[in-house]
Amino acid sequence: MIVVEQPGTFTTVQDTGRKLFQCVGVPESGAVDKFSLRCANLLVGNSEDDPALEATLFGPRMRFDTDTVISVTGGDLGPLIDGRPVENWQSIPVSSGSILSFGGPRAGIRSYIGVAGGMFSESMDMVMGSYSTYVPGSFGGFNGRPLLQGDTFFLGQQGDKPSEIKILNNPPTFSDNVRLRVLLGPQEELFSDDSFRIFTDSEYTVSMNSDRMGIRLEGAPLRHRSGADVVSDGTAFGAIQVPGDGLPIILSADRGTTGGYAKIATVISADHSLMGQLVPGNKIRFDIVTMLEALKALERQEFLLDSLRLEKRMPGFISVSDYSVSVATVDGNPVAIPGAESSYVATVKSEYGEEEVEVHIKGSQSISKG
Amino acid sequence: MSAEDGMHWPQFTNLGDSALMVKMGEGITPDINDRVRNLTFSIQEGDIPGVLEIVPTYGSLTVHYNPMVLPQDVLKENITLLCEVHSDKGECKRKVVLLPTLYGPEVGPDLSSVCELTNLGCSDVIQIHSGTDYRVYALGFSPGFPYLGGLDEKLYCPRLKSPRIEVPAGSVAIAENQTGVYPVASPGGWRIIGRTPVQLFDPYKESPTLLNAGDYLRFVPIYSKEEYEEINQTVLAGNYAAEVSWV
Repeated sequence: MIVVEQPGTFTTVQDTGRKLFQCVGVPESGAVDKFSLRCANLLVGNSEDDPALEATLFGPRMRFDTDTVISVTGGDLGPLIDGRPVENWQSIPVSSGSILSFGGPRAGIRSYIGVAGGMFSESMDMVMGSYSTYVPGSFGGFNGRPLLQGDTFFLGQQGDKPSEIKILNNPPTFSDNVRLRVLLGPQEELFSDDSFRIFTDSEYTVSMNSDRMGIRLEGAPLRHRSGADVVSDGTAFGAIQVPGDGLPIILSADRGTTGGYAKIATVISADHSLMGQLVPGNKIRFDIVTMLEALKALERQEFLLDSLRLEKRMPGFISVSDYSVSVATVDGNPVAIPGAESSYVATVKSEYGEEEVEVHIKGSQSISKG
Repeated sequence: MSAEDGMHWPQFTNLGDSALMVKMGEGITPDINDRVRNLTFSIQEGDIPGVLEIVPTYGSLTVHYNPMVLPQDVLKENITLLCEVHSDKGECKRKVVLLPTLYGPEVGPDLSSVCELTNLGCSDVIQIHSGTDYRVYALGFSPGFPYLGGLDEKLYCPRLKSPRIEVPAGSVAIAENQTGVYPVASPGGWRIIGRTPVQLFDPYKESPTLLNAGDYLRFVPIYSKEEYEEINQTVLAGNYAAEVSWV
């Protein structure tokens, strides 16, 4: 069992989000920094879309009554086990009686706590296909609310408990000065010409009035050609809407599914993690990039998680080397690369039998067991 | 597809690297919204690998997709093709959801100001408001909130100068050229003229919203507090099934 001794500032159960109900107005929700949540799960051997805890600013204090393996990822909120500092971005074995607590935020604002086998409770129900907490609607997660003192969880069935420490190599780092890459659109034509110069040349400050719905910015206002209103249309995580006062709002996990303000640009997927870790007072600048740059960046980020995925499924590591061949092999067995596709599922044979693994290929590369 | 407005639809714009906005027309008309709805169904039926979620709105739909699986060019080609194939679905029957509504000052604190602003009597306001089948153009803003079209011009009136901090769930309201129902209690600046006991949103139901985009909604006046309470009890017991008529 896991006992919440102190809930922290705002700790909720989240997963990768509520799918398929945006068409009836139900927000996507889910982790604000989904990359870090997925990583927290993979580090403890869970599926990457399993529920985990999202701690905000000051993390919770939790007691474990069972030996297990946990992970802490995302912003550095100063994680401690029994009062001693532990590393972010790696699996942490904890013994029965151990206490996880947080010293205070040092970089970023949200930490994700994963527990091997997942955390469950009678107060936790899957609502519309997701465990994510949507606090404004009081549903999902733990009774539709942030955790409170005395809440308890039991641990899910632990699969093969990771026997060695897993570490994410080259994790993202969060600083007070952030550059966010954006793609223009969908309504950039509604802004005056000088707005783009203002948008990319000026520094914005993350406002105190930022939350899971959106990140409000303070700084130089943008100008619309003729009014800020559009016929309400769809929104996306990272879309930057600009209401009449000209100050951009970056839409986040709990955003409304439709919006009536012009959207000048959208933060690229690879920078959603950076966006999710913005702290009020942080300074941000926007860089306009191309679709190709956005997709390459996303591929690089997904590639980081691949090492954890493959490690989970395969005995030992599989790493991607740099030389180019047309047919890749794993342990001497050929695997097919269909054309220039960037990701595919390959069947890999080893002494443990056949396994399907997801392989991401950039250009012509091959995979080999390292 | 070439429309009567001389423009070519669909038009594509990027909503980041993982969502595509597909515009099917300019403005708010039933025809454009029909195109949006037809294309939404076609994409759903088409079952394109990598398409994650489709969100239809007034004149456009947002297609969320996984760019690592589905290149944007391929998605655009597929959608353009679907538009050509399915450009004419013809007339189909309207699904009209009937919503029992209690009008009056007790549950509709702004009914009197609406009467003043429109120079109509209370019974006229109620008759006009309940005499139209409103098209559900989209759902959004909050879970289950219907964007309705078709309010009679005679009922147009401005929003409240300062919004209420909390509008009770089920409140039926008017603002500018729009009318709507608040599915959950929320802040709001629309003028409240009545209330329905029927739940428009229940997160724990398999189909969590009463309405879907493309449906029509008709407000059916209830004439007594007792009748309202009776329906309310049925709703609370989980036994209420909304009446639907196909026209």
